[in-house]
Amino acid sequence: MNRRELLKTTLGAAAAAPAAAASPWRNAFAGCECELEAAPAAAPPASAPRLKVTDLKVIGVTSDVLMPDRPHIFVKLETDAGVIGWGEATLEGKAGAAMQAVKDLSYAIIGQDPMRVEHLWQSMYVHGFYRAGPVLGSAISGIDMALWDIRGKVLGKPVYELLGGPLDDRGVRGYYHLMSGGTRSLLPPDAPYRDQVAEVRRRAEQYGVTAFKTGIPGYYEWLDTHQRIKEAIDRLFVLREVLGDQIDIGIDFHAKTGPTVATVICREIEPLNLMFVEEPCPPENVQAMKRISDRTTVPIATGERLITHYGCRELIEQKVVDILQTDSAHVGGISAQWKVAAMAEASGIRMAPHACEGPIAGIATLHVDAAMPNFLVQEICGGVEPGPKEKLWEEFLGFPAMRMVNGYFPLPTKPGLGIEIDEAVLAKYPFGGTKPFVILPLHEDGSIASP
Amino acid sequence: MKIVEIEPMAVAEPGGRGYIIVKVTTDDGPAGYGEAPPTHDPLEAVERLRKELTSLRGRDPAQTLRIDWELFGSGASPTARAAANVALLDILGKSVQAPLYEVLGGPTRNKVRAMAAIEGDSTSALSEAVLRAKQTGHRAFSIPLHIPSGRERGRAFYVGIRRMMDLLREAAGEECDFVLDCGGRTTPGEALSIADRMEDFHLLWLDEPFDDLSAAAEAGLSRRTSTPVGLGRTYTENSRFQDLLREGAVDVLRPDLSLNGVTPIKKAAALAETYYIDVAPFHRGGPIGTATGIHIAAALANSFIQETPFSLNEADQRMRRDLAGGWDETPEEGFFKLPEGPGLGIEVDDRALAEYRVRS
Repeated sequence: MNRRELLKTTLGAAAAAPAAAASPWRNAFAGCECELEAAPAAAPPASAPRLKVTDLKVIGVTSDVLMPDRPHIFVKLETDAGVIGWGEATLEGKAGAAMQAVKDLSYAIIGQDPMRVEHLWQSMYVHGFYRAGPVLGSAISGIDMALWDIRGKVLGKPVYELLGGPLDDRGVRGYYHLMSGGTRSLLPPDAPYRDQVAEVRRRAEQYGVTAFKTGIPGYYEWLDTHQRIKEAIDRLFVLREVLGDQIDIGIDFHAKTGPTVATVICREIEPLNLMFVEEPCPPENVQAMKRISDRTTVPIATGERLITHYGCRELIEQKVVDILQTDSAHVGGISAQWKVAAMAEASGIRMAPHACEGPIAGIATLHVDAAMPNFLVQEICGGVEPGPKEKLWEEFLGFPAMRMVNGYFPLPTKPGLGIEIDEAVLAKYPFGGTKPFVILPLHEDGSIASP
Repeated sequence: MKIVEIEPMAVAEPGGRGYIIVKVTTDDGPAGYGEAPPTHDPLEAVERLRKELTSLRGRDPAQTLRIDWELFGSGASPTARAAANVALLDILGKSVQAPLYEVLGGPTRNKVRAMAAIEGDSTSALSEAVLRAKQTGHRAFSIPLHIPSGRERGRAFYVGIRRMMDLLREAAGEECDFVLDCGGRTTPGEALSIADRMEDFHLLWLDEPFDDLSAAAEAGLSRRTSTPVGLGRTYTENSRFQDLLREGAVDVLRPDLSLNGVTPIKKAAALAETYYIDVAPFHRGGPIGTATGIHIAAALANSFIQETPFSLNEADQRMRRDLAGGWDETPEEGFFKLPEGPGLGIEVDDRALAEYRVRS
């Protein structure tokens, strides 16, 4: 039988068979034992969309002034109405995978009505079969932000107004990192820790900054020695003493510790009344996190590695943490960040969203923050003194993006995310490839340490 | 844009159903409408709402969250907050020239499943109402369970329920679906006896078997039956919905539109989504409430059905249509069409409002 005859036979058989068998998708399911069937035809929501997505672009941006593991991954959606949407899918140490994941979602976005952000979010998440994970979560996040940007521009409102905000006229309260950005060059690198912190405090008081975050020194095994534990505790007591009582302090354990060591440290730093201790153990095990929070009065924060509101459900349900820190660039964009906040609100959990990637994700998060009744504080990976990264962001966006004024991030006032980006400027910093997470530490015996 | 006036108005259908329509007027923008539930004294309720909402005057209607926060702080009732939330979002939608579901991130669907809340005090009356509702396009019906007074819930009661429901399905046809509404008047034990008998009937769900029990007590029912359970009609706090979900007590969340408004229901839906649970707002009021429910359903990923009261009285139906500026709550083959206009997508007719208003 030649090809033409085969085709005729197949078509003839199909014509005589019931409708389901005639579906052009039928063969797609052959060999799968899970009995998938062609779905009945349904019209998509909204019969007459006023605009459609015509292109989805992923733009990687590499620069010496950015942390090498996180070249910025910007998502640009174009529409037939000329409205452009921007989002960000930056994923630390996984740039190539995240860029490809965004491209892989083109099928769900191109040709679609961008106003239907919830439908498209569900389409990416549910139709994707694999529902989450950081790579897919970041890709969904970048696209979701761009869809919200378009929605806001079409409706003529900043995104936070579409969400019912702002709740605070001053903007969004933020914190800087203690020694980031231009802060490091304030004093010689060998200056004593106390002197460095004192200089940060002086500048903070000058600028009206009211909160900082820093880490604990070194790396930890799941049990650890007296000396290492004491070093961490002593450092935090010095920090509080020098910063004083008027500045709020978050301490990022960065999941360098497990529940055992974290509990020992947390118990002893209780008198410092920290704003929070962040990721006192790795994120996969809710019960392990609970063992820490059950045994200390220190507010426990976690969430920067949690993906979608589904990923936060157990932590909230089991009443494990005081603060959630989901990251708009990973959690599933503005849509998922809003849902996490809504779930947390019903359990008295506050939101302190993570932001340590690029400026679009930061600004997108400000919009959701402004509409959270349970908002606490917004992170930005930057110092009280701006550095070269902040200059680059200003070149991208035309204003000092994610810089506080009197301790608050000002809210954008233009529709959508309220930003404009010139692609030609981004093109000056072409994508330079994927680099691994910024540090790959080993313990002194050569075994793997958690960064 | 500033809010210049808040006017709650009690209206009554000729058949007796009453509710309160809250009109929020702005200086140089559109007016928005919300709805509050009936009370035994509608004029007293109007006065109370007027007092509770008076602080809205002079405010920017776009600030829905802050206004709600302040209303909460001032001790305003859930009904006042819900009506304000809907009216302000109606204004927002109208001012950006988009249907409310689009402002909220939808549509997620091209039509919304409808349910008629049936009235009747005998099997024959219920049967007639179901058939009439079916003729108008309904395919799902909420049937009120008539519970004898006192402790007479014996075998005849349980057998009678199943017989009645079998008769209704036989009359309506296999393509029709049913909710059995217990009205909050059974205990977990009694509800279990009903649910047990109804398992292979495939109710959409057994509605509100009890209200205001602890979530742990409520969970006693759904832990022991495959009949889906709907709860939450009296709840005004998302922590209560969260407790129902935590305890595994519920198969469909039933926030009352007139107690929760749009934003809280969206939040309840976010909670429910992570438990793979749908939301179906409770509604026994007027057409503004029905339209609100349709917009919520069209904006959520996990909505299932929107109910609307079904009256056999044509004068009632006419009044609802008149109030809603000609918008018809009648579904087609079991589904509501999505409203197309901005905001709630209905133009409330002030003349009809004046005509049906309860004044004394």
